[in-house]
Amino acid sequence: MKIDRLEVWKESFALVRPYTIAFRTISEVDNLIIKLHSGARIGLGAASPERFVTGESLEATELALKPERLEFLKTSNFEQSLAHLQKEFRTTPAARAAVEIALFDLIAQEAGKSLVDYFGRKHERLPTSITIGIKGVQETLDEAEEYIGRGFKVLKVKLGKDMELDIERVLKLREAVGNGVRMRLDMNQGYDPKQVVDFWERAKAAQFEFVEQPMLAAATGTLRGLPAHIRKKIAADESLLSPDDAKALVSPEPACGIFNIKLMKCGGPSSEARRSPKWLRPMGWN
Amino acid sequence: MDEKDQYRRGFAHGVRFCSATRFLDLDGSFDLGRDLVEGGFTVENGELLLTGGTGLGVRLLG
Repeated sequence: MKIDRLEVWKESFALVRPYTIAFRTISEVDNLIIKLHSGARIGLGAASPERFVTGESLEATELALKPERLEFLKTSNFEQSLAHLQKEFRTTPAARAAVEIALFDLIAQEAGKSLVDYFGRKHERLPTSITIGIKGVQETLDEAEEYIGRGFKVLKVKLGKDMELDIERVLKLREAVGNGVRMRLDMNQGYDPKQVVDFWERAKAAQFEFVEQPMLAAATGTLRGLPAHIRKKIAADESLLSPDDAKALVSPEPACGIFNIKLMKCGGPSSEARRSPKWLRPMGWN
Repeated sequence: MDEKDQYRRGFAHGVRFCSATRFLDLDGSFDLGRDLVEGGFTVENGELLLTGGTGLGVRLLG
């Protein structure tokens, strides 16, 4: 694969509705888009950095994706480019992921395969959750009804600002949607350990599948103080940025039962995150 | 973490090769008021289905 030319630009996207989570409300987002030209083929990638999670600002992503910093792509082969990104883009995982996505788009095109078949397909179809931000009880129920009407069977509900309201929302939601809809929750670090235990006891009738990042990312040690039945249903997100974080989360004993892996955190498809590392297998992760 | 972004087409492919994948959380692009590309995946009864084609299977609009 030879990269002849590349383009990078910023795009702003308005959201169809304002979106509130525990630490902010947004109504639009900026992405950086990269387009790699290789003969007649075009490889596309995008970066959406999250400063609050990875420490990478949009400005840092823009700087990392300046054309002069991407010149290496024109003189490197695929493996060399990945190695360069891994070494030089450590602090900007979203920038690295954007370039990697575009490179993998091209390499799979060259192989005449879809990207998933290039990797080796394990799943044919999977349901995705759709997310309801933090809002009032009635608005939560209205949005859930809209999503279920559109065919979604898994709802993810953002919580973490007001525990009393959180409990009311999830209990009323379960009452409204019945048992045919799966429910996942995400506190985005909004609770302390006592709140996690209280919430679990008082909201368990809502039959949630798991709870994402209930406490501060830095509180991985504290997670181990929670009862095992709770830890098993906790998904690590903001506390899981790297393979080292993953190791710290499962050893000496698991602090959570689920990993939330995102390209903008781990730096792209070449990351160790996709290779199901051997050290996870004794924990039942394969 | 709550990206609203265009990159999820990459991950729509990515999650399907990993046998440890149990849950998908790939709704970030649904809230965008517009899209830059077409193709890649469609949503059918809440399930993400890949639309075929090579690479990501997307085409830049405009």
